[in-house]
Amino acid sequence: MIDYLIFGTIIGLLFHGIHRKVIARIQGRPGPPIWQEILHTLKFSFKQTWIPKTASQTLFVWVVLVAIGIWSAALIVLVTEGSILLLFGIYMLHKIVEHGMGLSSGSPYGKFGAIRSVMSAASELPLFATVGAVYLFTGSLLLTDILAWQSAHGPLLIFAFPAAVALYVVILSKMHYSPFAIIESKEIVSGNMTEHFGVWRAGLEVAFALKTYVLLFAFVLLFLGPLPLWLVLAVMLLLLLSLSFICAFCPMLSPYDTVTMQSLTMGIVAVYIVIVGVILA
Amino acid sequence: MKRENAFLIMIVAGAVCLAAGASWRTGFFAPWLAEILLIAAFPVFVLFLGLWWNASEGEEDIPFLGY
Repeated sequence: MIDYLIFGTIIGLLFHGIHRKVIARIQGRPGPPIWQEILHTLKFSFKQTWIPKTASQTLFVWVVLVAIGIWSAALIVLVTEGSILLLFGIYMLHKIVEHGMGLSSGSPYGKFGAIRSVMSAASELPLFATVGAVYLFTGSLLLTDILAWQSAHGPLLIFAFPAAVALYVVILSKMHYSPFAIIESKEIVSGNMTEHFGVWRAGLEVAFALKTYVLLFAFVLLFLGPLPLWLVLAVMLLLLLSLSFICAFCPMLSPYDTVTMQSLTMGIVAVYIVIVGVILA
Repeated sequence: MKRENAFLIMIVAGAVCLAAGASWRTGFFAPWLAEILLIAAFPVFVLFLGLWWNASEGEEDIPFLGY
């Protein structure tokens, strides 16, 4: 099990490096090497570390532990083919972590990030729609059942394409440099992560690497079904490349536009669920 | 934090991670217990590995200022 966590962390960090490389190449820059994020994490873990005087010491440190813990739990839910409701709950906890991370430091930039994190709670709405649509087709929220259903009927991507788009928007919202990444946009330095440096930032990098790995892995399992590991990784990479293209081409949206876009996605998928589940049922 | 303390906590957390992982495969503990132990110990291991790496070793040298 620990091997899954280490593997997920390394692949997640590598994916972050590829993400940066692709964005840079599209924008006509050489960009960092793809293993840069692995080096970055190691570098942070060697840097001098302390807790700012203005910080709430307990929250400042615990938020890092909780961030790693919840995404480790999420990966275990996927590996053991548990309930996607748990995955949904973990995603909600991540919102609390983002908020707590920003507030804990006492920095105004961190606080802005924390407030934006609450304001962008709409990014969770498309996930509601995804869970609803998946249940509508498969009659279960257990990954075991969802995978078995797909083995019998084919990928859910074909049957519930709008739900797949909704989850794609959720993943896009959580990518670095995404048009929805308002909590860490550069006009507020690094947003809610501004004051987490040294070992704390290294811990957060590990948590975010696991998060990227888990979200992409969840997409493949939920909408393409059981695949061999090499194919899962290949599809995850393709998904990541498509996300990187969007991040490279789209400017960062204003906080209100972010909420509007995510709410619209949720609304479209909700209408789709009503048509499929109520009118056509 | 003292280097020895960080090292000790890192070793204990790492051992719990390994034990939980092994028992998950062999069924020594119930799977839910192994999973909870791993989820609790892995973050501690990651943080204290970093804290151990960058904890000072006591009295540091005076920085070299040149001849």
